[in-house]
Amino acid sequence: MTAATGAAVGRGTVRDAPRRRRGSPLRRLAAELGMIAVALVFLFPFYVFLAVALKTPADLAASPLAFPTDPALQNVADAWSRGDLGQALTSSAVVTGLSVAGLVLLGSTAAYLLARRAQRLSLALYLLFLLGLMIPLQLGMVPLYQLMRDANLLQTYTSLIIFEVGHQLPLVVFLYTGFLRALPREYEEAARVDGAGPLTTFRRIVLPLLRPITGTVVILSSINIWNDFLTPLLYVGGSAQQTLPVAIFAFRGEFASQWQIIFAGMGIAIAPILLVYFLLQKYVIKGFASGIKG
Amino acid sequence: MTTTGTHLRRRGVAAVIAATAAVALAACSGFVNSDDGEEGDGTGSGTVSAYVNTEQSAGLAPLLEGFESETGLTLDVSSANTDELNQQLRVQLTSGTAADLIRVSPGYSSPVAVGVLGQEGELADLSDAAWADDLTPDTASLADVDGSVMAFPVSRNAIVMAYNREVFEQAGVEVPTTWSELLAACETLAAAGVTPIAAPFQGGIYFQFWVYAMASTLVYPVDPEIDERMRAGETTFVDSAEWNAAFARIAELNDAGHFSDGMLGIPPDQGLQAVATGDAAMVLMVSAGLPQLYGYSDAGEEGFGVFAVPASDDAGATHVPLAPDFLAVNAAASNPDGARQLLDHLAQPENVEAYANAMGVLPGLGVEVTLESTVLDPIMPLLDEGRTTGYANYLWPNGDVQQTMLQSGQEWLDGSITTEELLGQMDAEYAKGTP
Amino acid sequence: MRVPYLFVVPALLAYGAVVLYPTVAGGYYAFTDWAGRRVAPSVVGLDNFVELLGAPAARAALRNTLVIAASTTVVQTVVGLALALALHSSLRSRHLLRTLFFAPALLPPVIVGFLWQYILTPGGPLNGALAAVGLSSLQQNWLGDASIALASVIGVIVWQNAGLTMVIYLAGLQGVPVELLEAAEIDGANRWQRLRRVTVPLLIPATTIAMSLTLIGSLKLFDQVYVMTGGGPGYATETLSVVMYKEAFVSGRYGYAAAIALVLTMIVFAFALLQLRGLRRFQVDA
Repeated sequence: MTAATGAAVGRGTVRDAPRRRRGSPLRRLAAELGMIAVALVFLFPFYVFLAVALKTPADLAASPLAFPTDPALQNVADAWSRGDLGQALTSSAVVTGLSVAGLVLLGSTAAYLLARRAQRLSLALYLLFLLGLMIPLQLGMVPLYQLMRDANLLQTYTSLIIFEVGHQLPLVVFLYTGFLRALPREYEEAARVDGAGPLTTFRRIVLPLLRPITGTVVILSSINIWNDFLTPLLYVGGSAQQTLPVAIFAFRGEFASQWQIIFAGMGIAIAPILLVYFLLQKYVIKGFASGIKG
Repeated sequence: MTTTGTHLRRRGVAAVIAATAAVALAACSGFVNSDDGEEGDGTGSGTVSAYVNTEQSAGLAPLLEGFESETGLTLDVSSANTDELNQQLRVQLTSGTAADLIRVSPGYSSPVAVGVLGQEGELADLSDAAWADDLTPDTASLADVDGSVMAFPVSRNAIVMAYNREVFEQAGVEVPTTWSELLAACETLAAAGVTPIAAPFQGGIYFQFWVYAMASTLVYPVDPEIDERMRAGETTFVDSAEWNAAFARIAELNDAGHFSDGMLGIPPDQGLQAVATGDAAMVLMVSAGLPQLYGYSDAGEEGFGVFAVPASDDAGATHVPLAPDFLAVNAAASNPDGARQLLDHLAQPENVEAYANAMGVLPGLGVEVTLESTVLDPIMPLLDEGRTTGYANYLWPNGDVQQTMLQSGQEWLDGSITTEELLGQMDAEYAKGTP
Repeated sequence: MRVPYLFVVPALLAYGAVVLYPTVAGGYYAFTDWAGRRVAPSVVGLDNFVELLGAPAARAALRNTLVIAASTTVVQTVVGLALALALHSSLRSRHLLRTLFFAPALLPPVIVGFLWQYILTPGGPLNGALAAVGLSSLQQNWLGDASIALASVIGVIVWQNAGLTMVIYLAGLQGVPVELLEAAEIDGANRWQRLRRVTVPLLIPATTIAMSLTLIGSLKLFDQVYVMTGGGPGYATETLSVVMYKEAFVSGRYGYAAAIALVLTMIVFAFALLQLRGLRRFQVDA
């Protein structure tokens, strides 16, 4: 048992400090079971989620807590067609994919300058970007909305992509700059000696070296953008370009809610996130931990 | 870091971007706003765009095919629930992106109500439409802006009390026709161990039905000009004996404990479910929601009845609040003629009838129709006698009066503010006038 | 080699257009009566701020926003630390448990709001589960009772984000040298003393990061509250961002809404500065 557990150390998503085994086996079993019990309570909402999404309205009224004996997959089909969730899924994918691509491009180039130029101007620019981590979105919400309107971009993917790129840039610039500052310059120097210009050096040398932090950037910003609600609601709500959270929100009827359809739709919206998470959990958690530490 | 590896990786990234772009283009036209520039050319050809609420979308769907084949026009309908539509529409109108045909609220009840938009010149004048003569008096006043008809009612909705027949029978309760009878019925039901009145007041939507229903009988029939006098500053909610009486009725039920326990946390669907399962006896709701109530019970439609909720001890004084569900033509529509044609189509008696029957609502226009459902029969005599009023909030000068009523109303229900304080807050919003 | 400033231009354009310009413009509207019409706004000085101080919704929102931020920060840090300590161990299930505890942090806040709104209704699953395990006395009208609705909202936020704090602490715990703990044990320190005297002090950087993230995030809180309660019952869970949204997009009072947003911005900045100073002092002391 000790050997088996020992072997597991270091395999985890966050490396464990090596430890000696302590306490009696009974006590450790109790701790194990205790934590599992805590986890079960913690996961109760997910159980409710499944139980509601798979029940008929009558079943739900009769026994809200029981697990559905005869899963009503019809709910999922209804949610899919009534909410036009196929279209919403496409919109979410398009907006997230293109915004993240834009963020990687704009964020890494900007950070390259900010990290490599030790001048007042570049430091000031860096601080200007960091300011964006604090500014609440609310203050600029209406003027930005007008700007999009004047540019005739409302109800388009373009408006959302521009918004998401600008909105997530401070975080991305922060991550890339921190990483680049810790990166040795030798490779770049070598490239310069070979006669490569800044753009070539960036493309050939720097960008590949940024891969680890690019992973973090992609994970963090994809999740933020995929889950974003308020701005998409304003920009593309009610149009064919609406994203998943907005489409789910629209399920809420004015006078009464049909929870089983709402929940089935919510299931469709979170399935892609959870699927990616469980497949790549190691990278996702690491991405968050390193992203947050900066 | 071999060159090949980098290349492969870079190609991989490029492929992902290309694939996303391809999906995007396939999903298409989402990137730019193409002004299709189809100005009305008099024949009303081309595409008509419409932005309607979820209920209208469901009711219109079966009628559109006939319209398209009859006129050769194509319809492009998008929909959202009413709250969301109201928020979107305001900005769409300001930004010139609104559809040809739009769902508007009656009176002045929101920033996108007929009265507000009509005065700003955002809506087309529909006075010369043939159907304008078929408007019923209760909707005509709400569709009118400075003497012009500016909205078309696709249907009308009534605020009715729905009750569980079996629960009433078991407790030996008859349908009440006066306020005293309603109170007595509640006592009997409470003694039988059921919640007399389901009160799903989370969010306040179902609470406002009570205000409108009480005002329908106690305020407007007694003082039909009250809103004109309030706008003129001659009276206020606080000073109005009628309004105080209306709120006192609700307080009476609340104080007697006839509403559900924990009402402020109960969402609408749970209130309806309580009535369906017999835990509660009745619920005050809009008629359009009845099909959902039936859906919660195996007995279906048969298991329930409706009545107009009485508010006074004169059974003949009971009025029922009616609400039109409006469509209007955007003054800046790119296809105004097509939009008008669609309204003409919907106004044909067989289509009015089809819409009403499909949605279980009352016909929008005063034309001869046969309703399949007999559920609303108990309130039909009131309609025939003209004992109807609009929802009270329609004539309030702005949407904030209602917002305040919904929110402060919750504080009032749980006893943290008095009736006078509640009415005073509503007066303060009322005094701000129409923006 | 000098990297040309051209490299930063595209990012600066996007950031300027989406964040900088609108924020400055919003600051200006806060002093006007703009109603979102095609009519130019007129400057009204401090009127919006005066109204804000008198309006029940805005006043409640100001108070609630501060209460939410303070309590979420404290509770989430404690819960996150407890989870991290429990899972930075030899438990066999620790990898699975970390994955599970972190999962809610990835969900869209709107969906978390819908889910919990349903769970917390009086006849809903939470009260049902409490009854099923014989704890009927703990049943509450979680979102409908004005005296506990705010606490319920805070609970939901902590449920969603505790995993995030846990991950930060797990990363921090790697920096606690085992030798130090063993030395303390040899010196006769018991488990609690080792935690208090060795582990927790070494976790201060992680704590600072976790707390600032939570604080700023909870000051801006919108989605969950808007979906779960819309600010109700009454004004019990109103927050600045919810009031601001309703004033702007439901009532069309953009100038007033901008004033609310400006107050929120000032609060966020004040807290951020305080935190920065606190952090500096700690670094000097250490």
